[in-house]
Amino acid sequence: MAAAFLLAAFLLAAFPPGRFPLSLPEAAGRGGPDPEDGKAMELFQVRYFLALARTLNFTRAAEACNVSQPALTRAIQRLEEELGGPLLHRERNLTQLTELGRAMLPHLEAAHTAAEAAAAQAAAFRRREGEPLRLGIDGTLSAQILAPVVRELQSRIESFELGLTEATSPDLLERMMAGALDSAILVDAEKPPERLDRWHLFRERCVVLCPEGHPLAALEAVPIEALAKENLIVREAPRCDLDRILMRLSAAAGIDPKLRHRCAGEDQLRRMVAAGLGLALAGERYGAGPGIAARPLAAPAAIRQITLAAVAGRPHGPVLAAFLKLMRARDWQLSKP
Amino acid sequence: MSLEDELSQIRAAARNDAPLQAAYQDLLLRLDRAETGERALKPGDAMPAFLLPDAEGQLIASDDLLARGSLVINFFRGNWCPYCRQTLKALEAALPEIEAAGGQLVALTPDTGHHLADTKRVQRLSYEILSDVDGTVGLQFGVLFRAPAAYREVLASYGIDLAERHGNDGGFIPLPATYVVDHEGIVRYAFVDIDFTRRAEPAAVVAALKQIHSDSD
Repeated sequence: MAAAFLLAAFLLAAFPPGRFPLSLPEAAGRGGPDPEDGKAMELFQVRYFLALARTLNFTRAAEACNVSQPALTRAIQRLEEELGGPLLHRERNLTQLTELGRAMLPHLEAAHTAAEAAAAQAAAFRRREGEPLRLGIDGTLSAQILAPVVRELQSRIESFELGLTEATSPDLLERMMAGALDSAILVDAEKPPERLDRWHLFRERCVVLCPEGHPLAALEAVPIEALAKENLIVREAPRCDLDRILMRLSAAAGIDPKLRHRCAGEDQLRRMVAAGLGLALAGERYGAGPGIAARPLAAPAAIRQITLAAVAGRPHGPVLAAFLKLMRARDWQLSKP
Repeated sequence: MSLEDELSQIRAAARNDAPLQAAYQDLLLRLDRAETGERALKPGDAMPAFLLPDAEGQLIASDDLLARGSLVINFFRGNWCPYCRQTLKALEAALPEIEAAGGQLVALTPDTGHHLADTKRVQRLSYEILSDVDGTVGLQFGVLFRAPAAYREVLASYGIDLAERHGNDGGFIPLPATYVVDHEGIVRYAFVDIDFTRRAEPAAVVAALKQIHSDSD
């Protein structure tokens, strides 16, 4: 989570405010980096560490950074003080990253990413320009939940361009890792890849959709056993978390639900429920729809976790960076549709 | 009553909490030793531009704020901190004076999600609370530090989960800091203290704003 964070911290702390060359090119004219300023050393610390991690050799790293070896060694020592432990095992003929060093490496490598994003972001929003945003959203979530954030970006960026892909969470994850999506709203991502930054947005209950007037609509919550005798409608998309929840809970309750009908999406699903073809499971926030009642499934395990995700270490354009901030700062507890 | 009078009451009430006192003393020692705060922004420095979300889901650009006049920026740790809560309330009480002196007020916290709106609602604040997501603005101002493990443990024992609040597990929090920046983006007043129980007096903030005004006359 937030892989770029620590890295950003070092890079940013390395530049006294007002002298940050990446995010504040216009401010450099006011003071300009002072090579004698001890504070600016910290940028070099990070750069030296990255060179060391690459070469695992103090002499070659010093050469690559165009500094003396003692200077490089001092900088690494200061960085180790900041990070709270040795980053490298120093042996006569062998230099290896410590566990802490290995843990810090991805954070530090991502620092340039974060710094460049901050620079581009300030400039882009001043010009009201930005890159197209390619988002994915799990098909069982309503794209309505994105509306306030997308509206805000639209109001700030004249050329704002949104591509919205709807698919199952595993599919979205694959497309995001392949570089076809910038970010996605996922449901219960199982075994997420390590290279993923994820932020918890909200949890929601699973609800049973039934036609108004159906006996189950009179209940406050529907026990899973009540579905044993019902015709159920499921989604054609494989790997849908709601179907997995249904199968898991049914197996636990010892019932064998009749998965009679299949449909392509949330709209069709609701039309089929309203037409009396059967019942279906859905996420609570999507809403029921005309002629349909939504009742929570009475099982503690019938909860879905909704997360925001982006690939760690990949450069964030100004619009993507703003999108992620807006999504993370949002009060998801109150914004139920 | 000054803000300091109110803060001293909170300090007095916390005096009997031994684990908290131990973590507090340890924190001060560590911050002092590491000279944390030495690299914080000072009067005369240019303020780094920021673009941050507010509690209402809007993006607030420092460029837009500075175009309207001087800016008061308060870095606070979160509404889990009683000293922060008292300071936020004191600034709200001083808001008419701040605005009369040509200032705009924003408060920045590394908190995310519902914590922003909660802070605004519970403390009854009418000024903007901005989420300094991942603390990047705090870092650029030189006021961010990594909370020592012992201090994080004490916070956790009070049910304060920084990772949940921040949406990252870095454990970084700002030093309490209050800045007054003129419309050209130059810092004219800075209050930064490694002791989180010490805060800028709103009266000093208002005085700094008036000084900017009189300088430009």
